[in-house]
Amino acid sequence: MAAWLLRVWHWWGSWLYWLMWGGGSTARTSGLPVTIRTEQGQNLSVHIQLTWDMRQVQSAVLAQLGLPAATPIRLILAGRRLAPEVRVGDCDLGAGTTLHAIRVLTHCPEQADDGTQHRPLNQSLVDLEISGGARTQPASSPEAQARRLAHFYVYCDAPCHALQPGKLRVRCASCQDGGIVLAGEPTGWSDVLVPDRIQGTCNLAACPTRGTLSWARFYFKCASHPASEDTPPLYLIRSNLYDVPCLACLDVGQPVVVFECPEKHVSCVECFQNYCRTRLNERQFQLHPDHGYTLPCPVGCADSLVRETRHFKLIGDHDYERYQRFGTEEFVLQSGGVLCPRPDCGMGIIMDEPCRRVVCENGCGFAFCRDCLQGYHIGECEAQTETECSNAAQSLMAVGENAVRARSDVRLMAVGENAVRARWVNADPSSLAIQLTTKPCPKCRTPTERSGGCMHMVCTKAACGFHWCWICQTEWTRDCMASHWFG
Amino acid sequence: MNDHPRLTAVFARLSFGRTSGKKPARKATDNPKWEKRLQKELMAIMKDPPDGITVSQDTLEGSDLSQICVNMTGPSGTLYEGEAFMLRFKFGPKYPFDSPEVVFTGENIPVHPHIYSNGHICLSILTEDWSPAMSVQSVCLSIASMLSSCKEKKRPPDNSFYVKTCHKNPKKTRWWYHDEDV
Repeated sequence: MAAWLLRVWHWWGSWLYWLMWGGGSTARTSGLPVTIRTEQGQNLSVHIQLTWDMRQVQSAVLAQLGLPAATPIRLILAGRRLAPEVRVGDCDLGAGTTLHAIRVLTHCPEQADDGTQHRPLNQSLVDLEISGGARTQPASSPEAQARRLAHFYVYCDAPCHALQPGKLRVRCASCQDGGIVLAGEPTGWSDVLVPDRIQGTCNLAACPTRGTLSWARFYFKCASHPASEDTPPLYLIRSNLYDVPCLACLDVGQPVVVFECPEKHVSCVECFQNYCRTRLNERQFQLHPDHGYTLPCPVGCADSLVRETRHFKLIGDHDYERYQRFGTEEFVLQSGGVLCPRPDCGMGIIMDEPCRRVVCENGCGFAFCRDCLQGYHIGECEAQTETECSNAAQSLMAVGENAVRARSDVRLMAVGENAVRARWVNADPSSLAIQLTTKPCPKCRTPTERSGGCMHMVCTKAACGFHWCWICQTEWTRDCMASHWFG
Repeated sequence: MNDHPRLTAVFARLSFGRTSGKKPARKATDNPKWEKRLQKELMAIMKDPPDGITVSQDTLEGSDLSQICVNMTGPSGTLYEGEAFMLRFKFGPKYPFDSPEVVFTGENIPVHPHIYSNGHICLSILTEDWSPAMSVQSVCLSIASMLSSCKEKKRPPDNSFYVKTCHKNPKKTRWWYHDEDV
């Protein structure tokens, strides 16, 4: 239903567009305002009609430049020379799009005329992962034809705040201008994403590489509003060309997330969001040295981590903020840093030198002991049992009632059970509960509750997974199994 | 099978997307996403039931999909041939990203080294090896295969201790999978 509505909206939207930009009445003088940039770097504003072909655009440009109508010029968009018969409506032009107009010099050798050079990039580039065979098959219907156009998606931070169709553009790596004609065609995402894979000829007079080959730089823009900033593409998001059902909800979504596992599992965008949020709540994201804080394909395939973490922007601002915080915390801890133990601070601190005194410099200013995470003190961590000292790392510690009673940093005159409650530190009910009911994982110190079953504990933290013994609080061994497996 | 009231309701709900809104009163989007997925799974089981597995009558007649029961007959040629069992699945709103809670229920709990007498099943796909690509059907088939490969009917060694101390939700148990061959 949603897909149908979307289609209706699409249709309605394009009709409105057609009406607005001159398709409806030829009498209208206004049209689609585009910028024409010449090889001299001059910018002209020209109004063109969606029904025009490039020949008509050329005439309009020449008229505005005051040049004779027969002057040979080329129009360049996104690395392609547009053939005279290409219609404006078939290029992904929007208000404010920049076209390059280059005068053809008579001594300039003609470039290879293999046809593809004359089609706009969005037409010759069907989705980049489609295999060669499928690319060359003729599309059966206009709808199929439309779906075979290249579709790219970006997350637009502002003003859209949403997943949006993207436009692929190209500029010259030397002069950063778009007056470049591609010499080769990108055949896969890597050609587009990795710099210096495709070359082109820059036509701009001011470009140092003019007339010779230079590298082409591809970039993406949000297609939903004019003059958008460069935005990295969400390359896992694709048009669902083959109507593959989502692995989770089994619906055929549009667009979809295609994971990079060998099977290329497909999930709809909504299920991807649910998947990320569920994993985030369980802190099951993985910190990868190259890709960052990320997730694999939901099926759990090997080598399927999401490499561009910008995809996680899809979970919404609130959850993305949590994602960033969790990721940072994970990074700090894995780099041997600590988190400031002050409530409501939690600043991540990576120490330059191996010193026990840590000051939360850019945060709350609290100075604390790296080992016990209590306020900084001179000398040994105070008379806590050895285990307790290390447990304290998360200011959550518990080694059973006896250890709590044995604490000597309790300076209040209370004995036994009361001493536990009479502590100012961690006096709130939840941390008290955590202290009394949990033991820390011996490896990562995550407070762990044992709600039943045997003494063999497996740490649930994603990066840890340590097997330990509830009684010994060390690694699980055969001896534990023999002597106190079940208590 | 189509004349069954519950299934007809399922069919009716699912077909809204295609009948272009003649009955706009109830939309398919009224159902949470997990429920829609579950309906599809159940329809698939009804249409093409796997050997020895049927969705229970109560589930088909009830309106609550968060808990369903599946009848299973012991696979022929195995120690459980001819026995009838019932599996209870509980689903949360995070399904299928979160695994369902699956236990044997009813009078006959299979005697098996990985099945506790309270119905809890020690099977890795029900907890850490779960993936959203699995389904009610694939869980049933895994359990059937677990039964089929059993060579001796006995309870797990720690059965009496576990049954006394465990949480009532088996997903709260961190299972330790000692072997894969039973």
